Amino acid sequence: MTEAITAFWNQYGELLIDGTADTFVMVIVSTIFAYLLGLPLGVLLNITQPHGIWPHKWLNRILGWIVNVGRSLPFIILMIAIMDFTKLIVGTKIGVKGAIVPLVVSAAPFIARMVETSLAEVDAGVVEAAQSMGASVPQIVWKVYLPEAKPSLILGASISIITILAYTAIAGAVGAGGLGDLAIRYGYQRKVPSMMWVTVILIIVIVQVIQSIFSWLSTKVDKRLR
Amino acid sequence: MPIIQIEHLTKTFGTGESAVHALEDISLSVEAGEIFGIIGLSGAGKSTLVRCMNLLERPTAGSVVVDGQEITSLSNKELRKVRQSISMIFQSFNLLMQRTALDNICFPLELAGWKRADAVTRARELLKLVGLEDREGAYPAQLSGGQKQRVAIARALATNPKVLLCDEATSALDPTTTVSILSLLKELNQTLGVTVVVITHQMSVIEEICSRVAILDGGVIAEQGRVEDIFSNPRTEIGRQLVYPGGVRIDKLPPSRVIRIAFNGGSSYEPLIASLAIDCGVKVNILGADTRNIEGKAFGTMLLGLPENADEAARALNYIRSQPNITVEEVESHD
Repeated sequence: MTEAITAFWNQYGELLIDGTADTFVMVIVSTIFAYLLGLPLGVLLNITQPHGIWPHKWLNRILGWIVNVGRSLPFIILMIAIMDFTKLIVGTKIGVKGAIVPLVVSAAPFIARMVETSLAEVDAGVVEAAQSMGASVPQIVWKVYLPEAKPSLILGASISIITILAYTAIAGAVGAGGLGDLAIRYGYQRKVPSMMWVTVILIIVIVQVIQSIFSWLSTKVDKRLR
Repeated sequence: MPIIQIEHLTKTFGTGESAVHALEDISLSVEAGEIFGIIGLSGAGKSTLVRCMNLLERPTAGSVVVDGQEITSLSNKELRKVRQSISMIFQSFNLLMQRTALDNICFPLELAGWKRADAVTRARELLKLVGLEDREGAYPAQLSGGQKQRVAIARALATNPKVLLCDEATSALDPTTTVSILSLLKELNQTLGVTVVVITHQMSVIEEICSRVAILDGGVIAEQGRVEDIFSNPRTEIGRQLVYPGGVRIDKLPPSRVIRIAFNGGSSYEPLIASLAIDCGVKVNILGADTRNIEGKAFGTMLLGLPENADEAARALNYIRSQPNITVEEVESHD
């Protein structure tokens, strides 16, 4: 048994380490850029609503439409459809770099909706109180909406990151690298079932760890809990 | 000079057949330094009216002059500036849940661009003013309802406003806490000179702290005037309904003198009626009562018919007047 594990590690250990590292790079970089786009988009979606603090009917409709289009395309189709755009931005259609662009484009609308929902949970009375004190729209966003929604935004981030992780596995199917790539190339195409199982278990462990960390963090920052 | 002057104010929600006329042709003025009450049943339009005073609701028509300035024509920027001098407290407190008591009070100062150190100093002063100096690090979730409202009051006063609008500020509180919050408001009115506008559905709140009152019914002002005048002689049906316990029809009462007494948290009402009989030898007739006994303290109002004998009536009245925590008004007849 021990020998089998050693043999497996000698043969595939480096691949697994590289694959895990690639997955982490894709997830972390994509999450950062997806939030840079999705967070402001989600805030705008919330505040431009008819009863929001900055009502703009048409802006709200256009943003809502863009987000819905982004969310209705399955990731694998979107990835192929925007390949030329990807090459324009990062200079390549494949590999870790080539995967980040479609990951961001796909996750940003998803994140926007998550953020919009988190902000909607903020007590309207608190927002009204801020308005009654003469707070401007940016002040309400920075000092009321975002801090008050923090625990919910953190939980939303865990869902977003895990979704992006799932997308990276799909991206593996078209040569993006990472754990998904290993599972497909070795586990499926080269018929190495142990490789399939190891990558699956690694992904499960990563998901569990991310979820636990963010759940803990969300509870820790939430001052509504005594 | 009135600090708030509202003229011919109308507020309509929606248009066409689905339009709701929340307020119709409201005119009233609040004098600087007074405590003005607006009372009405739920749905009367009180909350909408108070929100027209800082334009959280924009009136459909009419003018709102605050401290000599017509606020309906201000730009957003000018309006935000004016709002720093008209503060508001709420039924549900509306504190920032992720900020400590101290940081909640710093909030309006941050909005106004204060330096952090100055804001903290000012916030500590205010915490002391509302009697919570030892709770500065507590989050709202760790405070009781009364403490939360004290923090909200401190927050509202941070920018030294001229007016404090109170939207059902005591409705979520128990009677004992209500009394303590009301006396705090009264004290702040006297010491700081801040004008207070109180929105409520409880006559006891008006009676406790207001000098003048407007009764709102179905979006119009049914009557307004000095509190003692309205209490002794409500002219409208809604006025009687609010003033008399259980809405007793005064014109169906016996011809003897009738008084209305309000218990503001003194000893229980049963000993009062009993001691009237024992100490003064006077029997009074309870015509209506709406009282609650909380932790041995009486709250609420009672309508008493005095004996027809003028001497006995005067004795009873004097006795009741000498009791602590009780206010008495004679009710005029309505024939």
